[in-house]
Amino acid sequence: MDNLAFLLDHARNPRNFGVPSDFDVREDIKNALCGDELTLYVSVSDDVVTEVAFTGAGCAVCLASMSRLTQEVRGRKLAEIAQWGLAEVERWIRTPVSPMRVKCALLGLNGLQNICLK
Amino acid sequence: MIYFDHAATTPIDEEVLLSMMEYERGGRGNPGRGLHAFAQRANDAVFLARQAVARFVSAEVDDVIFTKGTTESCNLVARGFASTRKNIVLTAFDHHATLFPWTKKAQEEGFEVRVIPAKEDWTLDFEAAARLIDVDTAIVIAPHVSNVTGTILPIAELGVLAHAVGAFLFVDAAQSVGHLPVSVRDLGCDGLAFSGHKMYGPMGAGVLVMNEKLRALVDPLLLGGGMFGDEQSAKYEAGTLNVTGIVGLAKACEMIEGRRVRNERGMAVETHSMRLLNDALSDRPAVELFVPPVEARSSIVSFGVRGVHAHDVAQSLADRGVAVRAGYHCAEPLAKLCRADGTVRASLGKSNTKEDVAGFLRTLDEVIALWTT
Repeated sequence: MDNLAFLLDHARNPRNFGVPSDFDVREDIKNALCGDELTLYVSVSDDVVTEVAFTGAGCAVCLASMSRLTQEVRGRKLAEIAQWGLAEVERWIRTPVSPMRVKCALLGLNGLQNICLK
Repeated sequence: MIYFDHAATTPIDEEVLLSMMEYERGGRGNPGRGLHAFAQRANDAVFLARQAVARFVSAEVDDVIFTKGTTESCNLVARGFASTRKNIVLTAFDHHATLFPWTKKAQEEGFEVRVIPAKEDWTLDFEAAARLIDVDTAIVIAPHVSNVTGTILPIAELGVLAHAVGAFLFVDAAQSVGHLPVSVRDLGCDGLAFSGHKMYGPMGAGVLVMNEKLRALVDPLLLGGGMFGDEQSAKYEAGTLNVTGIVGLAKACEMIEGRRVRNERGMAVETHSMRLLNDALSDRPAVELFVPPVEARSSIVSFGVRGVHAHDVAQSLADRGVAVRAGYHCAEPLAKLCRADGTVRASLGKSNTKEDVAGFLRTLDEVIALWTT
């Protein structure tokens, strides 16, 4: 599957999309400039993220980034997640992100990092 | 590149650029601040530019004030305006440059904000305007052309409503000056603002026109050197003017007026290209349009591709050499009325041709196929 098809697959069929039956934290996040709006549902145990799911709507970069984040984050420590940035997201979605789309790509990760800090 | 983003900014005209370079190379001075030849040259440049701008928009020379652009002009009026009346009237088509300063003023000073809505055909609800503008209205603010839908608003008619109750009319002409004739006299407005860079002139140079009645109620935004000069405008022009930019702005006014007087073909080509584009977009089932009836339409078309985020369409077009804008266009209320994620906006200019339209449509069809299959 080429890189664009990979991105489109995650944007159209985002993984871990929907409200889970159980979660510890719910957070609404928004990119005010372009209308990307997500709700994150996060479960944490002993400083390890056990589950992340989400709902919402956004551009392909935003949705694909969030979809891949939910796959990468399972079982990771909060301290490790706090260090992630654009480089990780670009690796996950297999696409470089133009400067104007960085906020779209980082919406989910930044939202998760804000939860982890609390 | 196929450049369909003239509503964001326009390419600087070659004549304009040359006029600015010639001014800079001839010796720079600070107008009104010296007795030497360079200062006098700067005085003359600003004097002549003010006259050129006044001719361009059929305004009194004394009413022409130079600013950094439309946003500064709108903020100057909003921040400085004083009235004992109770409400101000905006429209659903207003840009953030008028929405934000006037709603902030209303919050701070207790004005009621009334908003004339848009109708389903993306024209102004004039019947609502007649109800909303009343004897307690201090000022009506409206764009001449919407930067989202391209709607040409009925400014002269709004002026009749406003003046009948003793209210002022202020017009954001940023999107009209490069594309339609703009006459303060014909529009019947008390104030008007526009930017050089939206009409093939430089960035950082704009105009605020305010008649004497409105000036009497508006305090200056900036205080500083040069504000006690002889011209009526001096009070609002504290600090050093962007003389080079003003020279370019005046040349842009002359260039556009000259083309309009000598040969209407430039405007006709833009209008024709716009109609081709609108007709072709409306033939594509995957595309939804947010445009008013043709008689109320300027050189802007907002659209969306069904099921595809506006930014994804615009990015894919950009990757293929087509420049448009996507999102809320600094006019979030109106853009969100169109679609939750805003729109894709194509905005044409004087150099766009039917070949550009054909190229745009070919590329858009590729992008639609990419995102919908």
